[in-house]
Amino acid sequence: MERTDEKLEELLYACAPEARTIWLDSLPQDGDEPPHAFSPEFQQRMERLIQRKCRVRRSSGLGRVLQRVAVVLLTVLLGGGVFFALDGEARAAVLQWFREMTEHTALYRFSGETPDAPLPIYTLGWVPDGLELVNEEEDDLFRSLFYLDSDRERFFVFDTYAMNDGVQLEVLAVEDTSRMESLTIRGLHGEFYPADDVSDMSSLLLFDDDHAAVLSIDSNLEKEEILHIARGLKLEDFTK
Amino acid sequence: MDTQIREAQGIPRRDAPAPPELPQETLWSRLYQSHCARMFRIARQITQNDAEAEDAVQQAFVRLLSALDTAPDPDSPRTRALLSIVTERSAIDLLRKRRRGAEIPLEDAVNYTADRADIEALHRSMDLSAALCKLPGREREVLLLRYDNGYAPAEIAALLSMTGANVKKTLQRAKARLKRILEEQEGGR
Repeated sequence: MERTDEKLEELLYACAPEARTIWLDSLPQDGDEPPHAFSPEFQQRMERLIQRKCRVRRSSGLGRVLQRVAVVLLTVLLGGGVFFALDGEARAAVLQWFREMTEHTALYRFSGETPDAPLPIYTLGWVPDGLELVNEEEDDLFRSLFYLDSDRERFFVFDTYAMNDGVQLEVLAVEDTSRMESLTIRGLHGEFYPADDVSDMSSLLLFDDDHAAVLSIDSNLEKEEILHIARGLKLEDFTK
Repeated sequence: MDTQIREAQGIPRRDAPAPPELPQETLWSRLYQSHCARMFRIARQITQNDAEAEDAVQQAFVRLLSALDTAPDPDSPRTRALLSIVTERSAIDLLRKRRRGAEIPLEDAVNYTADRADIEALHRSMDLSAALCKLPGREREVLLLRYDNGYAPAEIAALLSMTGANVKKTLQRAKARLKRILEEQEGGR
């Protein structure tokens, strides 16, 4: 029997809920095994993840646009030692960082002795015309500045992350990580992930090994504007 | 066409949003609290390792938080399926990353669903539903997110960490495979 695509589409819509039920019933069910006790550290980092995401969205009121902002995501893992066993590209630094590339994500992990120093404060020496600071947040592991234009179209997020032991940063939804470009800006090693079909955002990471910090700019601006913002970064003397 | 069919069948365009009166942070937390144990079980079955299963649950939430505007209704069966699919895929991706080079038949690892439930025997009358469950993991996930949850290819791409082009290709491949399975089933009667 010949089935047209249209007929198959109709059938799929009709049968999908039933297929879902069959499939869900086949998955491990409550009571199949004793419940797993999540560690307090795990619970804490999940709460942090949710809080951060919701806080940024709430304070800007941007909804969909803000979904695209969190291209670089911070999570804190339980311990760093295990990372040494992983494949990765290690570089000499105050700490060591490892980059694991897959087709669609780039995962950066930091390991080693956590420095006893505050997060460095970088200020922006240049901001594109029309963009204004609309949200600012900070905790012990990161500082985030969110700039947006009045049409709520063009924006960038400038984050500073601590390279603490056990921290990981993930660049998400990169269509093809081989498009990543290495560069140097103001003496800092950088990696630029251009926008692609999946995400309309570009991400620039800069590694400040001396101050154990990673700087990131996520934005839907043109590459040259993002690089211009990065070139304008100024490190405040935070030892005063 | 999609919308017409779904409306005619009373199926919402996509997962119903959670009640609007609650703050998003509360809703996401509730979603996490309600589903984390089950997500862990799914991930554990694939990774066979507690620590990796926890990481897979975390990655699944990262993907959900990045891909969705608002928290879906924690009590909806569609949400249960959505979280299961994203967890399954996160666990497989994590295993791939960490055991690169190892000979692990990962797609087989998630096809346990078909064997475990003996779907064909139990649901002979549900040809397409059963056939859909028998598809390779990636194809089944994409089809369910598209036709049950109602997500667009770009949204599925964000949820499963794929490219939009790959989602479309996977949809085509899955539909072609379904057609073949259905024709074989009909020919065998």
